[in-house]
Amino acid sequence: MTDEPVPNEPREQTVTKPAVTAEIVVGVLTLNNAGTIEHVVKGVLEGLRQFFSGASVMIVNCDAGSQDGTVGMIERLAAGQVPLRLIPAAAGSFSSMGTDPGLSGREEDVRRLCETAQHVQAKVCLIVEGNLRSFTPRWIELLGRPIYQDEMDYVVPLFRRHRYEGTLVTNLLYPLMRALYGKRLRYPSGGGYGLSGRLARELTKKPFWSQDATRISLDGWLTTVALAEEYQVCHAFLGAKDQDLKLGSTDLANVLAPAVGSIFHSMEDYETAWEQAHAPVDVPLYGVVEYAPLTGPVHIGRMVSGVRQGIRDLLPLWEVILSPETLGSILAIGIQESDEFHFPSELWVQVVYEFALAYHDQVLHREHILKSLTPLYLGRTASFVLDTQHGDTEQVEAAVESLCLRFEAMKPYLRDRWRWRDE
Amino acid sequence: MSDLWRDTMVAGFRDTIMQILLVLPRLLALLTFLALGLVFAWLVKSLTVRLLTAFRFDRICERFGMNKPLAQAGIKQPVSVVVSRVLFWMVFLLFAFMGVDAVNLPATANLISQIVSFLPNVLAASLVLLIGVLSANFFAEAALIAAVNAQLQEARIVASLVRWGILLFTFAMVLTQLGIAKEIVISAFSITFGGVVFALALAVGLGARHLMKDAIERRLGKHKEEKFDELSHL
Repeated sequence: MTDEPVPNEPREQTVTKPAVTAEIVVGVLTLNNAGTIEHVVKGVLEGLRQFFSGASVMIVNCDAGSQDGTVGMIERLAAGQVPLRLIPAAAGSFSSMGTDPGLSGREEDVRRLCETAQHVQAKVCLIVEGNLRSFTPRWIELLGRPIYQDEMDYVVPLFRRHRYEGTLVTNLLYPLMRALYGKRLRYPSGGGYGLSGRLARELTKKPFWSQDATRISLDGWLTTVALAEEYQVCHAFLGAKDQDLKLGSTDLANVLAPAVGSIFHSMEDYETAWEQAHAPVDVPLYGVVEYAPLTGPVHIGRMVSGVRQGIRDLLPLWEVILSPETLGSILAIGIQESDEFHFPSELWVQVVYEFALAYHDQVLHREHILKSLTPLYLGRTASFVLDTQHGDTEQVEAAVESLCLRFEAMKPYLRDRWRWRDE
Repeated sequence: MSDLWRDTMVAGFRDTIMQILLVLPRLLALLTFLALGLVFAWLVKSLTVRLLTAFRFDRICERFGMNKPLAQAGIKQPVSVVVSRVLFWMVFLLFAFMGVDAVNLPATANLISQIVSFLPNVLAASLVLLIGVLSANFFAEAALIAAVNAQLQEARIVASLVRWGILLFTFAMVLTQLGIAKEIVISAFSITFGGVVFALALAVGLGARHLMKDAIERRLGKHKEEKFDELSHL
């Protein structure tokens, strides 16, 4: 069988059963992952063999310019087993690649992967990061089967984490997206993704890739598109996630700004969708969610000092962003003792919504708006930890649920002001 | 005798009338230029306000933090109004100078040509000043946010240093462009800038080497994670 060239001229390796089409495409994103790639590729091959033995499959390696022989290892491992396409190093932002969880800096790779999936008429397009130590063959099943069998379009992974992991998700990203689009879908934190061929095809048509939105989080954008355009979404519990994030630690503001920015940015594109969204509904879950035990106490000292410094130094900026009432309430929490520090949910929701409005109105440079939210987020996180530290995981989840309901109840506050400012 | 007296009187009267007749058109020209100047200046002002409003210039200036320094300088109006007023007076003064030139006074000879030849320098200097002030505000704001997020206690000092560093550089460029005390400005700027850089190098090298070592190690991922960073936010 002959194979046609795919966009951007990826190379075709000699394979046992070359195919023009492939039902399942697994995209492996790599950058100098020689230490983990063998484990990942073997897991992918085993997963495809075990769970999708009757389907035509293909592995696509999107490498960002590895210098440690990662690509060669993939070629060697896949030889004679499955068709392999290599998408050469794509120009992208390397600043966050390998340090942030998720798809930061991999926009061009994901775009090419979606184009390849479209070209080979894939039914399922999985994305797997090459730096995963905890990858198992079962991930392929959990990410792929909901799409392959149950007609899902977008699979967001859940991982085994302790109750205070992902506080940005539990206190901001998840409640905000749930209130906006009416689905109880958690914000993704990288690792692996499942896209249907239909969604991948539609994504290639979006103007996102060429806009400045590419500088904000791709994870957030994918999730927003899936929610706002009413694709079938679901969760898959994959177990533990252990990644080799070896390029260094990353600044919190640089994690928060793109993640929050992608939601704020999409609110302009999907204004009608989020304004008309109704009460949230559950999404299907594949697998059984487990929580990891808390490994030790969470230190909130620097979080509280962070919000206090923000109140001291960023007040002139917050005066432009926030309403006088909200600012007054924030000033009041700045004088609380550390042990009794409390950032009320109502105030937090009001802060987030007013930042969204300020972003929409561009009252300051947008990146400055997003990054100046960091101290307030630290304050909210400290309060969240203090409020729930004596409870168990269920109580933490109840606190998150309560916050989500607060976001939903106060949505008219956002909608009314958004409309008023547009008029 | 009487003829001489009469001729002198007539000649004096005629000369005066002639001089008045010669000056009157020039005065009329001056008044016409002033009137035209008012009309054109008003047109330019109105057009500028409309254009700047259409392009949301005030919002852009607000985003770049222009309004605050203007308010501190006692200017409460929107930037578009300020710009339109400046243009109004520039156009009016241009016409006024044309009028003065038309009067043809010895003291104002070549005034217009001198002003016109200097105008490009003024425009270039104004542009440099505008970009400099905008950049100073933007980068000072960015530095302040970054320093606060890094929990640097001297965040406001860092932001002020950035702001005044850029403003100093801008003022030096503006004065050089206008040709005002060029040599002194260049020397003063070089000495000040060199001094600041040298002082910073000494401060970092001697006083804050451990801080810098920690910062670099943290950036390269070699630093032992602090308790604060144990929490995974995403």
